[in-house]
Amino acid sequence: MAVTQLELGKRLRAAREACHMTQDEVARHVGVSRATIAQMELGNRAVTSLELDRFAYIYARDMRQFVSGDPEEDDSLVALFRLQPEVSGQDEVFAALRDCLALGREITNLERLLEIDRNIAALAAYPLPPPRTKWEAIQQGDRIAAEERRRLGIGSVPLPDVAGLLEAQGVRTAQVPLPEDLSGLTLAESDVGVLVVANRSHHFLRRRFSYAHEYCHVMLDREQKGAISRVSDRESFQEIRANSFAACFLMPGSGVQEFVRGLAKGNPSRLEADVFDEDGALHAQARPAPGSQKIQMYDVVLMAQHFGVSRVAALYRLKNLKLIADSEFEALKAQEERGVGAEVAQLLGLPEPDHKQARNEFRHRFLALGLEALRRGEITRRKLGELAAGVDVAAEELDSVLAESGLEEQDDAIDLLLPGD
Amino acid sequence: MADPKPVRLVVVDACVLINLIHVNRLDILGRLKGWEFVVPEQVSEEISEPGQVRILHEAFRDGYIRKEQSTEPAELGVYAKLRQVMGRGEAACLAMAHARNWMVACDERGRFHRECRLKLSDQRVLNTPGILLLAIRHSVIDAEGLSQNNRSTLARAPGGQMQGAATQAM
Repeated sequence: MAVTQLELGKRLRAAREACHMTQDEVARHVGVSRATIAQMELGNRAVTSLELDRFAYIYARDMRQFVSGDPEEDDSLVALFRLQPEVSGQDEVFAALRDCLALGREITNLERLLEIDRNIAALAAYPLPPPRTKWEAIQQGDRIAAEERRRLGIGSVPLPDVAGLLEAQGVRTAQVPLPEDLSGLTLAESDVGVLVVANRSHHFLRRRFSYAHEYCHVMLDREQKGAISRVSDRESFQEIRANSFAACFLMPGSGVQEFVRGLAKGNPSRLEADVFDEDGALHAQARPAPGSQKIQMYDVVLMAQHFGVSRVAALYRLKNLKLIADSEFEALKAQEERGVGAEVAQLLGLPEPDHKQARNEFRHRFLALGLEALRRGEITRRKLGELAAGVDVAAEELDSVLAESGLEEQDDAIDLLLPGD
Repeated sequence: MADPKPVRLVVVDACVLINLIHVNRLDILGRLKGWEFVVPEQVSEEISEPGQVRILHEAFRDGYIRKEQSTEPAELGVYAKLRQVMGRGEAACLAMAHARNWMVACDERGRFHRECRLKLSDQRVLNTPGILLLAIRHSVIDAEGLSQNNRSTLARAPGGQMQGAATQAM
């Protein structure tokens, strides 16, 4: 049932306050005066459909929440602002959140139209108390990564497609250009489901890490309805836990050890064993050739390539697993900073990930949903155009794809429509 | 004396406007007696090519068409729902026509046309060929009124391969 103008005004005011915005700020976004906003909120001035569109975007809400049914009391944006109140004052971050939520709603809508079922009930949850120390956070992340790998039955193999893995678990994933400080975010609410966003501006390998990081938030922090992952918050225990999870999930300890053993490295400087025969034990020992066990930059390059992580992430993992000493870590990290890692990768002929192509993975998936919805007559051509524009696809590009794929209606036998004159 | 026939109000979608702009005959919409054509703000915003914007503004200035906005909450409710499946302009047209018992002029097929028929019935939907036929019947244009050149232009117009239908209207 439709609401009254007075009720609409109240909902607009509540949404504004939830976003910690002033009437002045909203007025600037909508392109009207502050007094007009005040009158709208009091129910004295009608709201046009065009303005309603603007309000929905500014407050990152579904437009329907303002004009019909019961308003959503506590959406993910409100939850995020409660957790991180400073975010509402950061225009760039807030704008990114708006884009993410708008995109999340469009994905949800397309999937609903196409009857794609997301079974988020099957999504794993690990109820753990919040970590109290950094060490506890690291341990929790490590343990949950191992448990989740076990639950998924993926052993210790590398994960070629992290976003795909999340999708298979019922988590929607997206890539949106975010401010540099933001690596990703997680949003969980009834009309969006669980949405994980990675920063499209970041490198492909960093995005993989971000997806794994956010997956930790999905499993451990989704009761909070959301999480924003910022480099500047990296000291927070939740972020430490998620980073530990991501490293261990992408590079499981047993997998890394196996990989290093495959290089015939990673053994201690002295190998010892006792053979017991019920009467006593025979002791044997061997020493690997001096320096033979030392991990080199080309080993790091190979390991990073194998697990689909950055060389620096691989270095930290090797250090944490005690496969390299602190002094070796520092020396290799210094080499990496001098560009040696990149040169070695080139020398070995290892393909660098196609960054541009990888950036467009999400766009492909999103547009494919849109094209299918158009083909099935679930959305209009104009709606598809708006969706495409939302992921930076030029109108001409879309026109050409539609014409070539036969999805554009070419039939020239258009009925003449004229009701009785 | 019988009451004069009430004015029929029609909400016009962007495709129809663009088709008529292409043949430079937006004036037709202002010359059909007993008919009034309105354009939602969203539709007006969808026309962005500078030459077309100029012609559209001239049509507003000359009173051939006028702008209209949805402000009733019930109408906004319909608009919000329709936005799930259609573009801003389309949703604005259909919400307005539905809530006010007006007609819609659109050339889109597929989902939009289906929703129009569902919400308005066939008796409240017309398109560019229908408007051209109406213009002929009202002697606003004659069969030769649209030159061959104009028909070709109409055929190339985006959103509507109108040549066959234009010929049908002639």
